[in-house]
Amino acid sequence: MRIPGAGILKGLRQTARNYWAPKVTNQYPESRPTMPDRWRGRLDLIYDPFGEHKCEVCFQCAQVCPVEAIDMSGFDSTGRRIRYGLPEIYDERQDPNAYRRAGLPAEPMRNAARWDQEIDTPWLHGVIDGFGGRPEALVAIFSAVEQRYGYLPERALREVSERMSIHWAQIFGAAGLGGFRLLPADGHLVTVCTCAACRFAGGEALLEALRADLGVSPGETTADGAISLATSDEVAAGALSPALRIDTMVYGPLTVEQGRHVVAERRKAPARTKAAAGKAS
Amino acid sequence: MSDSSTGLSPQIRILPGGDQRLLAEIGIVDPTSLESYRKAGGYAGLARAVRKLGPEGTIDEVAAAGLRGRGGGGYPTADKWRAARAAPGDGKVVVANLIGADPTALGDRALAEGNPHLLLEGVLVAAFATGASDAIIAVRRDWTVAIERLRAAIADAEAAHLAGYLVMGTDFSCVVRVWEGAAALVAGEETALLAALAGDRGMPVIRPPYPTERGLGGAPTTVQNGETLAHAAWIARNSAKKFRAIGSKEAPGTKLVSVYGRVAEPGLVEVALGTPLSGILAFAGGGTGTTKAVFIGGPGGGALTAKELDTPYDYASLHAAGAGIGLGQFLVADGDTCMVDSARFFLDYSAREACGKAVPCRIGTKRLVETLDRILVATPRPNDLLLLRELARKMTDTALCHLEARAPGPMLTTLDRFPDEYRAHAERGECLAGACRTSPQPPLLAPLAGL
Amino acid sequence: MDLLLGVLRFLLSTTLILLLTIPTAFVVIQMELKIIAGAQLRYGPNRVGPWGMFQSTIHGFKVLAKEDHIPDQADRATFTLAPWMVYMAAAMSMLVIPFAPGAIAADFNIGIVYFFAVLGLSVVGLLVAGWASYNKYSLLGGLRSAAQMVSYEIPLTLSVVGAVVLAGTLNFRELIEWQLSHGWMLIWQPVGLAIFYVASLAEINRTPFDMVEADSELVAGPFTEYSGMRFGFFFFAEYVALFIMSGIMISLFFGGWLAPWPFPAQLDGFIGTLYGVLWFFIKTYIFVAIAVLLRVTLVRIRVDQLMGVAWKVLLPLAMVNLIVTAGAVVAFNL
Repeated sequence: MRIPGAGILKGLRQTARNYWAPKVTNQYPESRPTMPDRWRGRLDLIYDPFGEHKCEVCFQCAQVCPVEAIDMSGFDSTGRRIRYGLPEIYDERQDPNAYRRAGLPAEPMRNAARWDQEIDTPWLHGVIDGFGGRPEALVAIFSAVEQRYGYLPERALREVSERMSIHWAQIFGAAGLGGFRLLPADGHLVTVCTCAACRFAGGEALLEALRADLGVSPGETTADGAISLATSDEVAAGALSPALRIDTMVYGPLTVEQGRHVVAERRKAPARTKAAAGKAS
Repeated sequence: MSDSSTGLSPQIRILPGGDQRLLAEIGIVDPTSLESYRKAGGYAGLARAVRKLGPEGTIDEVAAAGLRGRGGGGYPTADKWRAARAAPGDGKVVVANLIGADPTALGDRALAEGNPHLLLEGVLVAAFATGASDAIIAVRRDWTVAIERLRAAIADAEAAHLAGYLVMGTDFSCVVRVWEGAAALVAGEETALLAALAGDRGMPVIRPPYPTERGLGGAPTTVQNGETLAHAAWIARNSAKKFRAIGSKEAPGTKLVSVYGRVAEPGLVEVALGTPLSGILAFAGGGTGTTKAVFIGGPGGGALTAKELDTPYDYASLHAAGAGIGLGQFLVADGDTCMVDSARFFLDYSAREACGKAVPCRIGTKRLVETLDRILVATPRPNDLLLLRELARKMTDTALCHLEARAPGPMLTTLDRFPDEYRAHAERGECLAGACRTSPQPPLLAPLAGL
Repeated sequence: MDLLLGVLRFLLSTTLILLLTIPTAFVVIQMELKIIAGAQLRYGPNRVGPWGMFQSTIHGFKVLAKEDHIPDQADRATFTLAPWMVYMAAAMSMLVIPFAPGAIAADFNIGIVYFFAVLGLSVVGLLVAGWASYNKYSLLGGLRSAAQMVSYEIPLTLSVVGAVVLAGTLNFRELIEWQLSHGWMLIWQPVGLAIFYVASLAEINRTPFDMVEADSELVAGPFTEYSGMRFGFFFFAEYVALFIMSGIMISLFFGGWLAPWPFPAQLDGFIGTLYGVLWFFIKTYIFVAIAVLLRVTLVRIRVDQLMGVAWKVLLPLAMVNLIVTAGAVVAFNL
């Protein structure tokens, strides 16, 4: 026979009994658990219902983590190199096994080949020591590296972090916020200025025309690898608006026709290739 | 890569006319020669400050001139200097902020390239007044000409005992350095700049303590826009009374304004504060096409309609109109410019340049852009226009830095002044300016290259 | 002279009662923290004071220090008024609680009616809080509180009528004195007690009937937008209400201040007051502990189940109980 309320009484008995049972909480500062020597914690990001991770790139966790357990570099969902990343694609976890463990399809990284570029370590050390290793010179060091390689290679940043004893997260953050290129561009880098001045002087039409001509969107490279299209607010064209920059030269003010012409002309000239970028000095 | 007549990068064109004060010597004085600058009366201001006025006297002089910060905040310069001077602590620092938050603002760059000694003199005057023994001129790293010339100017001045140790034979010493900074919007914010100077990520820090109490390395730090310092040098040289000769009563002096957009002659012009907007427009040869609106203050400013062009260009009246003086950006839009799309452009810029520290800014700007995108392609949610206002107000209320607080400005002012365009976009997918394609389309502006 | 004494007596007793609510809330909250922790095999707060016993007190002071934020679309006047209404409803109903012989703030002849009348006021506060917050969760919570508390007030009140008919009084002191001579009401009114207990839990929004706050669905119900001491008032009021309900229940059904044995069940004079207070608090806190234990044991039921229980089970049962009791009183001339 079922007695009404018997279940409630049973539950009450259980909770009441638990009250007197031994407790499981670790009284942390006084008693500490003994961890195995090779114990490794693993960080995980939360995903939203659409499968996108919810990380909002605030980077604050990486910055405050005292032991640099949080690493924030990787690729976002569109394959762009970005200053944060899924935990599964931390640099150390690039091998396909890491993917399988994470339950993700084990494809090779789209840009993986790009960020194991050899760098000239003695030269870099010279640059760093030339600034006396002061942290305030970071931007100048980055500038020097970018001038040499055309972008900031991952390994160079790692080296800077190591040499200057600055947290990797901090190095990467300073580079990421500083408007530096973190990925090499294939071929000529055509940067269309999107600052307000250029835009209102017709920069939009210029970008559209180039997009149609080259058949690529900003951030992409043409199929033959000759031209990489990019946009930036930082061409600082001013009175030259609308302007575009090819490699390091700024052109402007341009009509759409002139812009097309300039790009077509520069396309013929040989460009620094991915392979040559490391050797150029 | 410099123009032979003025010695400036080709990006910078100085328009004739206006009330030229800081710009007057550009093109006359050789930027690479100390002699040439001294011949034009250079370093007389520093000499007057050091030998005659004394630190307190210099601050009083700047106070009498009524100089206010030209970096957008409009904070009285003398108050800042007084606070830095009164703050206890050794190793005070003066930082000249030439990071020039918005790339379209050309004033600081023109000064640094065309007359680096004037800037240096301003730095030294500020250092003398605040009792600083160190000074840093923070320059965007892509202004290579400016960096080169400033470095040369400092070396020349040190050789002539105008900077460095024991300036002009007095016991005032100030070591000036040039620092190359990152090219990012947020790096122009003063606490973010100080963080970047210390080698950290350039992110703003909560205030107080203000930099004048505890700044770089814990020492009281005066962060001042380059143009403000040049004005200070001018005041030290020519007296406060002369400074007050032009400009309005509350905001005397001049301001470097970068006029661009749909105008005949885009470029840099120096105008007295209080000049009507139509006057500034006239210096640039007037608008091409029918001028519909002017965006004043760049991404942190706001839009005024063509009917409001008699508004005086000064802090108070622009602020009352919902815009701001900013770094002197003055963008002219004509009848072919869609206001909704322009607001989206500025917000998108703010969103991409957000450092990511403050949540309302990081997510708020993103959401504002998304909302405007929905409006642009005529698929708005029912209370999207309400959402825009509410979100904007929340962002302003909870802002960490002024860039964030003002980021919704262009959107709010266009929403107030051109509600018809918003409504046409949202309801009918129709662009009243005829500038937008009305079918759904991917955003034109891709994220920053390489990031 | 009498008038002056009356006013003095009123001021003194109300002040004392208001002051009493604060330590009461602290004690009840501390019990809740500790009992729930224990039942979940945790230690619970154990750092502040001996055995962590000042944790809830420190929470109270923390709440005082917090920013008091008002949403900018909220109706400011009613938003600020709501916590006060809820708190005053709880504090006012404490006036008639019979702590001990001679320790009743307001010993008047319709104390039971007064109690139920005042208790119903808190629903106004909750509804106002929900409406004024300009937040959908708050409004849902406020509407739920209105539905729930109005529904449960009916069986709650009806369940007591049986006891009132038996004792023939609406005065708490006389009711307890009746229980001294006739044995605890528990024996006479077991069904009434059961209805009263269930309905009282629902009336003060305790688990398993905490539909009003329902953290997993409604954030915090009407309190969602509240912060700082305004939230503190709601929070306090809730725990004070738990104490009051337990106190009223033991007064009605468990002999109030009477000791559980007859040697002696009650003393005279000042010692008698202390003796009564002692027993009152022991019994009350036993029921507070049971309510807390119920909270950690049971899950929240659904809104429709909640309303079904009130209207389909408790109300008919209370009616039957009342009719049977009345019939018995007439038949046996009790």
